[in-house]
Amino acid sequence: MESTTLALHTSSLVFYGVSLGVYFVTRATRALPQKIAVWPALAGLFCQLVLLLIRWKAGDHLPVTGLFETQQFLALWVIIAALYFAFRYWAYNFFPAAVGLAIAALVFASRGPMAVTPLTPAIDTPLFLIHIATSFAAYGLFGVAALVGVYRLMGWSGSPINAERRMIDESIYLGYILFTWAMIAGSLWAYLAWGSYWTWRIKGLWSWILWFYYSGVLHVRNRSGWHGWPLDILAIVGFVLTLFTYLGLGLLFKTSHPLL
Amino acid sequence: MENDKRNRGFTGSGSLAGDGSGSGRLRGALAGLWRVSTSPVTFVVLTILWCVDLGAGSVAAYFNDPKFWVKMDLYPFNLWMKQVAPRMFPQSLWIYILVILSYLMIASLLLCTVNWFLRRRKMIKGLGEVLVHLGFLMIFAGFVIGSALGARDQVTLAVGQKKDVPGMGLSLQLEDLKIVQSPQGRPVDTLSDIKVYRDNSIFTEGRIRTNHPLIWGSTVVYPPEDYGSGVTGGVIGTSVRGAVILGPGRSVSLGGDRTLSLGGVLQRGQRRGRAVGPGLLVLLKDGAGRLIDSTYLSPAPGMRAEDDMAGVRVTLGELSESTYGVFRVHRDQGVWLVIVGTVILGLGTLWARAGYLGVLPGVGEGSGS
Ligand code: HEM
Repeated sequence: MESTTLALHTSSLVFYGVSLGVYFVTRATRALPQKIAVWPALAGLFCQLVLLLIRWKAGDHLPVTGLFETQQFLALWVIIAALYFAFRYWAYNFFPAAVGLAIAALVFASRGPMAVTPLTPAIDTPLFLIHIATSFAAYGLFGVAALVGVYRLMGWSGSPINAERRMIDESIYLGYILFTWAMIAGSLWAYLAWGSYWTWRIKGLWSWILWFYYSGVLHVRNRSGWHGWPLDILAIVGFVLTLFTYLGLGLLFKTSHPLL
Repeated sequence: MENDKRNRGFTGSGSLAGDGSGSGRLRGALAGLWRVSTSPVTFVVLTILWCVDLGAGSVAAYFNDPKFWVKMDLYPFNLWMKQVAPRMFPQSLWIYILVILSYLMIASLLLCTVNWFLRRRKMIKGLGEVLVHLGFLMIFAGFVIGSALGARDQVTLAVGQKKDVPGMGLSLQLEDLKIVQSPQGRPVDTLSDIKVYRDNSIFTEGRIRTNHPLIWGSTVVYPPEDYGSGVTGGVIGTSVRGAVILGPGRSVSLGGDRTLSLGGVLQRGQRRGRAVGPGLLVLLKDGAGRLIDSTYLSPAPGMRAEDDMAGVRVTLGELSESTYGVFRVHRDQGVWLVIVGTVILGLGTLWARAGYLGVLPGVGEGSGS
């Protein structure tokens, strides 16, 4: 299983790398349209999907546990969002940024063990799997929203039909709804497994912070005075908060905290 | 903006403020107050303050005391606020602020929802948002009820033992406790057979394991956090009735209205005062349950293995060992409101999503933007 995983994982990384290369070469030479960068990315996505299915079958559960699988899943959503924007809004100029984010997630994933491990009783529940899957899908979409925010702040054109506002809106909106489900599933799981749907553990508290933060963003995203650069800043800060909740807390409290 | 208009509230008319009379000014001021209270911007400002307070407070609390979270989770929130927070002041200041901000946010949400019912025009699309808001209000109400009325307790039970859970009006009995091991022999889970008694008759029973607690109504018994095997009783030779077996929750009649029972045990390596484990605290009581005498018997070097208790000679025989677990019992009267609120909130997000995609009748695609 580990060799199949490594092969498919590496292939998807290579395809995404090729996609980036094709984009920059076509951009520089203008010999071919930039949109052909989408095809290697589709091949990468195919590898990721096959890997997901194989691991799902091998482990008999949705493969979203551990560093490797969660980052794979995050990258999958980033690529799906990038491809959707490319096909729907011709956002080929935004494409390399999203592919770059997916590559970063996959490189980070490579640091985790690739073996398929059985679920321990504490996480052997659909609630946990839904919780993790929706969280990481949301993290990916919040990342995409932040990237669109950077494009808009810098005045770069991501899509020739000026769909950037629509793209940031859609990423935040779907990300928020997925994250809401993550909170619902996580709270029910905490109630059944740990004694309460609200615990004072720091990771859970920061998830609430993230949820409330994006609730706030959702309420101002369409208001006059907010949907320009303030929304871009909110999207970028939101992703920084996401990274802190996911990575920063783990690093900050690594030494002695038993509950992270 | 459409949203701005929508949230102007039922008194939202500039002309009212401008008629110059005293009552006109008052109405104008009230209209302004209503506008501010029901404005999403007010909610957003409160949300940001809430996030900053919880974010900074939670990190600072950890650095003050890394066990802070574990201790806080032992109590329902209200009890913690009453008993612990005042002692920790000013380190608990951020939690007081968090409570105030939470209530303000809920007030804003409540007013906003009332405003929606008063003003709403786009019934179909807006239903998603109002379901989310109502669901959240229910979750919060459930949390407040659970914190105010709820209770949490812990009981250590050895296999066969029955104990009262004070304050909850029930007793628990541990029928059996099996430790589940991984193929490599590591303990990974426990299976506990629990009986719950109310007024001395069995009320409910079941087998519990991780993620599958025993739930009835608003009360839950969770699998043991801590378990192991150790001394739970032993054989005691008595001068009046020969050898008797003392175990958890078991008293033995010695005749003449006197009973012998177990007051507690110390495990190997444990100490309490001058008593060294392993050993048994033996109690002699009269018919009314009043203590006549007590003694600690132990085979440990330097400890007494026999004693005289109000004329009865007691001698420690073999110690018996069995499995025990530390069980948590939680009661949360608000939890069903929270669960119904969660379902409504979840449905609301689905509805809102459908509205956003333009799937709902009469709603154009992308009307969320
Ligand atoms: C915990 C608190 C809250 C949560 C989780 C929440 C969540 C939501 C969600 C999911 C939507 C649907 C978004 C859409 O379909 O576009 C929404 C819309 C809305 N909410 Fe809230 N909300 C909260 C508090 C509030 C408060 C306090 C107000 C008013 C002060 C408010 C006002 C609105 C308005 C006006 C809309 C519709 C307009 C829009 O889409 O921006 N919300 N809310």
